[in-house]
Amino acid sequence: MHASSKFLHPEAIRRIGRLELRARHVVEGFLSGIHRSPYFGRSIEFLQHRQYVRGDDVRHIDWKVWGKQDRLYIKQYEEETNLRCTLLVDVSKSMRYGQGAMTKYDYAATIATSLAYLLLRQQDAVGCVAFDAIVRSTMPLRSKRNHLMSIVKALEANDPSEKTDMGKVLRHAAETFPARGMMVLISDLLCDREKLFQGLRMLEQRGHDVLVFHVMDDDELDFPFSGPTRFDGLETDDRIHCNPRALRDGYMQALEAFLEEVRLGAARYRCDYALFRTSDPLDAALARFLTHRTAIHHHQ
Amino acid sequence: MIPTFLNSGLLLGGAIFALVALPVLIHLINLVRRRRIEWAAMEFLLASQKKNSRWILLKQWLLLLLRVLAVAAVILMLAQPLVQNRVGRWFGALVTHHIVLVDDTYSQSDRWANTSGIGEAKRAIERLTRQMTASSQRQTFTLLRASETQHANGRPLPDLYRVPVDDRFSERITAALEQLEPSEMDVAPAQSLEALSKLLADQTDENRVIYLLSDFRTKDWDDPRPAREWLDRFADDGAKLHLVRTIDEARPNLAVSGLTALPGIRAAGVPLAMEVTVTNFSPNPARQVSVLLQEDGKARPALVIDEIAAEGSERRRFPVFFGTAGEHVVTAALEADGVDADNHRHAVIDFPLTLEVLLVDGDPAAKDARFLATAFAPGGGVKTGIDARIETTTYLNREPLARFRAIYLTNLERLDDAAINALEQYVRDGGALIYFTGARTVPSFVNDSLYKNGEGWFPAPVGDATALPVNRLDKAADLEFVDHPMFRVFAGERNTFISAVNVEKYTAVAPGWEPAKDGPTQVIARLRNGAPLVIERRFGAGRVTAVLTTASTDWNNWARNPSYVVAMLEMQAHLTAEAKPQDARLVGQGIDLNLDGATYGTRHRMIAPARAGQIIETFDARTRGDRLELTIPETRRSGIYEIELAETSGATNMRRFAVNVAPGEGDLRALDRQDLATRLPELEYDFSQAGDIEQRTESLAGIPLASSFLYGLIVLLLAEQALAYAVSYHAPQRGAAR
Repeated sequence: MHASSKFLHPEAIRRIGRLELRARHVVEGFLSGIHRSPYFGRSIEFLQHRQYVRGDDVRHIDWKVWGKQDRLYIKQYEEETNLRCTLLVDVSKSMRYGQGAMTKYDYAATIATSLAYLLLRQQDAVGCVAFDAIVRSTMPLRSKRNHLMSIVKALEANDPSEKTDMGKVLRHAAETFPARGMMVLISDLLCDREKLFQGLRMLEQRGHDVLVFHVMDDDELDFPFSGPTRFDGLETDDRIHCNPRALRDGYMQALEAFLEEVRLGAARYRCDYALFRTSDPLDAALARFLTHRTAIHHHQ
Repeated sequence: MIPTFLNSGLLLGGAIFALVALPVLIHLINLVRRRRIEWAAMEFLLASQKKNSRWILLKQWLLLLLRVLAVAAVILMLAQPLVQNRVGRWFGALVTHHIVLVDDTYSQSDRWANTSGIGEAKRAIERLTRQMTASSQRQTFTLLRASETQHANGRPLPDLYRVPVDDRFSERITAALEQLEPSEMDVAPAQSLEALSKLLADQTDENRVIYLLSDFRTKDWDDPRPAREWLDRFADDGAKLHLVRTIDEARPNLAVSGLTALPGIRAAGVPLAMEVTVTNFSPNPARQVSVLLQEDGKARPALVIDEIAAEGSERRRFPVFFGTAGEHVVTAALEADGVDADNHRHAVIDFPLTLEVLLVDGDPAAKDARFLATAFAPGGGVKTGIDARIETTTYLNREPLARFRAIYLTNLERLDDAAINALEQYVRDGGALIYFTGARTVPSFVNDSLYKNGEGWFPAPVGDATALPVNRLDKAADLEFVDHPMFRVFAGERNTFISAVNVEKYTAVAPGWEPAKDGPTQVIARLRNGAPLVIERRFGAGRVTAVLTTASTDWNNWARNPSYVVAMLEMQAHLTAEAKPQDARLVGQGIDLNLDGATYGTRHRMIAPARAGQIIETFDARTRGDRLELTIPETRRSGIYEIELAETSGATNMRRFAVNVAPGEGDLRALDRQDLATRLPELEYDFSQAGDIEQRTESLAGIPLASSFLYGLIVLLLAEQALAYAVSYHAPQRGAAR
């Protein structure tokens, strides 16, 4: 991990209260940490010029054109244009869990806004769907930079309170965003898997490029508990009095089976799947996104 | 098997509460300690719970069981269970064996107020046995008296031996204690402890508590080493020792410590001097002590001793007179004090009708023998009891000599070998032989056949007859006596009769001869020129006295001097005194008789003194060739023992023996607790006064179960902790797993 990554650690991020600032912090930190933008230094085909507007990256100004025409134009590359990315953010009750630096919801929202920041910065279109049992809010695809705030507001406005119905949500996403684009599902996937896979299949069939960012808390992945404990279900009415150590082995087996199932299911429907712990640095998600983005470009 | 508990009340109450309430309490505590987590991934937990519910439930029940058992172990441990069965053997001794060794020597008869040493011992035993009876532990009991540890067969005889402490125990103890009285024996502590050790040797798998009930007299315990050796052995074998003092303090005591016949002629009708010794065991002098005397049970005038110094003794002489021949009893007694047993002393003295002596004169005229015979029967109403018989040398060959108390040989020329051998055997067997020289004495015969260079019975080598020069200017007496019992009567103030004795001639000893120092030979009278005149030699069991001048007036004028009769009678008395005092036999010792098989039968009767009345017992003598050996193995009380010897003719011959207590046992000085502790360092024991004795609970068997429960509790707690950890009953630590 390069030096700036420590600033992308959830412990550092959570101190930034506002989501948009977090996103900016994450993205800028991420980008400053790499020597070359994935957009630079790669053999990306020049597509066209467009007139410079305030806020564009001055590195993209075509100085030759200015020299000739005394007008400022920036170069546009293939990747800069026509990316439509919809962020599907799970804001259900289960996302409220988190004993570490960030809850799953905080982590998911930060990833989502960071991605939105990154994409809007590139003038890509970003939309957002916040959901639990139902779709709580939908932000249309926009490429304006001020769209970030809308996304942030949409995410912040939805305090997780219901359980997840993934099938319905993904169907809604497929119908709301019919044009092909990228769908980034950020969720703990603690839902009906059948419906999840049905949804993923639907998105895949509609030609969407799906990334599944599976966010889970460290506790859920390690189950480190001991001592007499009462577990109350966040999305169910189940209640278990137990000694966690007694159940750990069985829990881990069930968890492993779940992760395997989700992994296989995602692979079956050609979804890019990545598992994130809430203790992982936030740049991991960005790096994963960009890696996927690059892979798609080459494939195309 | 039903264990018993010292704290059964605690057991019952504690068990009920603990077994029922505590686990619930623990469960409630755990509920309070339980934390709450709102959890997202419930489906995995539910799956795990469904899969493991049975095993989890089992673990929880097991944990509850361990906790219940742990609580039970604590309760049981505190309740101190005692188990007595084969299982209990694995944990400790099965039985507690209480062994009471009672010192019943006669010092324990010491009385004060309305109790005594033995009385306090009895009370202590009663107290102890009451406590034993009250306990439900498995116990056995042995009661052994010190006097019953000393039997001739070497085996102690306990009053009670390993009797169980059961319903009949009280009855047995009562019966045994009724028989418990002070004996008249003196038994050293080491002896009784050694006997106890033999008694207990046969069984070792028991928990022993040994109670030694004694008055701990100084004479027995001042040097504790012999007893300490046995106490250490008992302690090393795991026995607990408990010393119990039966007296409160030492008290003064007077004892008749001696009653002896002084050397003298013992014959019916002849007065005999006796001596009684009284000892004052007290730090203060005793004054005006009356000694009551009896002759054959008849009182005679008492002696009064003006003062006996503290811790001192006084002797007084008194004459006894018995007109009839036979064995007579003389008794000396004091007035009653704290200890009665040593206030009496008995002596049995045999007074034959006459004392037969043989006078053998080498001169057929027997002049010397007649002078001696006259001395032995001086007449004038003086009875000497001596029956003198004058014979020639041939008598020595043909007649048995054993009947004569003394044989006088006067003016002999020679003796044949048979006579010499007969005389030698006579002296070896204890006879008294007196040899007067004279004109017929042949020095070479005496030296070669009688002295035999010191191997024979004659005391010294002799030379020729020698004249004692007359020195008119020398006023010294011709006779000079050394301090010897034979002539002690002449000691003290100047005796004019002796100084008038003139010796003209004597038989000199070989030039340069002197008796060896510390040898059997002693010069007891010399002439004024230093030449030995009377020489005594011990030979075998008897004695030979050589008088190197004539018994008649041939060589001296002694026979005409009044001192002659006295000297001859004193000589006779000295030579025929009993080698063994009549009263030397002590309680506990046996009586042995060697009888002529031709005269006596094998079965004889003994009448012995008892606490009340007499005991009559029959004994069979063992045949040894032509002799019979009759053994009375032991005597248990002081007094006069009469043995009726049955003769083959049908007649009976009564023999009497005096048995007395050992005088030293009357020394009542005693050690207290501190004194004992000083003398028994590093020995673990409990000490009590008899009135304070308590049974210690640790002396009971079965204790190890409490320890076993402790170990079990440790194991249970470790198991409980391990299982609790496994089922995650421990609160999380900071920074570690949550």
